[in-house]
Amino acid sequence: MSVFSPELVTLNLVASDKADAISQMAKLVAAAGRGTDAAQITADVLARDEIGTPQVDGVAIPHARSAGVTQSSVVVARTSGVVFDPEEDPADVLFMILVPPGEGDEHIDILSSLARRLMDPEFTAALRSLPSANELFELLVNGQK
Amino acid sequence: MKIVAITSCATGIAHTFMAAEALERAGKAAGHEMFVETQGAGGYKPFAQDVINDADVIIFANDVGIRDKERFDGLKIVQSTPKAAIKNAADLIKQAEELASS
Repeated sequence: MSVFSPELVTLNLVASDKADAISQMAKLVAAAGRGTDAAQITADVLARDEIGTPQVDGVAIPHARSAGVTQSSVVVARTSGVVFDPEEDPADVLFMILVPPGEGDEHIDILSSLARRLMDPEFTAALRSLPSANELFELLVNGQK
Repeated sequence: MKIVAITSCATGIAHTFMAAEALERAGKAAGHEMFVETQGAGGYKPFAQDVINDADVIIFANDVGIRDKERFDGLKIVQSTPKAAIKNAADLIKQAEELASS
């Protein structure tokens, strides 16, 4: 199964802070049947965030290995701005990457190629401008190796 | 010049590859030959020995230990982090240029 799903794309996430944003995204994963424990996912992502969440040009990538997720999943959210690192501008696009413990190489490869794509300004511009969750999902799927 | 780099991070999924992409882009933009070894969660593909032998300088962008670090004994090293590479790869390339010609 793909790490992407239209159910895991949200174009208008309203969150009070990063913990709230991560929690809401974790709930999407559980609601899509890809995880069993949104609270565990949230805790694991926040723990990983303690040592730094990568952010490039307004795109933040909170991520973790978590026993709360049963399938590798990527949640994508557009927001009006969530602060991950006080030294950076608020992030307006969030990519939450979740991998279950012991996940094999195949999904790791997909996720790592996604991480590389995030360094491409054309890709991030499309992330911000596509008008629907389905089109955004298509962009993610079609670009994958 | 020929610049080699190693990227690695705690989870081995995101930072490692973003840093690699950033360094490849910045190095090529500055007219260098770039070789990046990503030491990620899916393991890594070691450089061929002649890539190491021909390198002018190496950039370590890691926040966990570099695997088989002794391969690079004797090379001039720019020590940095994946975060710095993602944020400002061009600056690391510049540091590498300066170190290589020092």
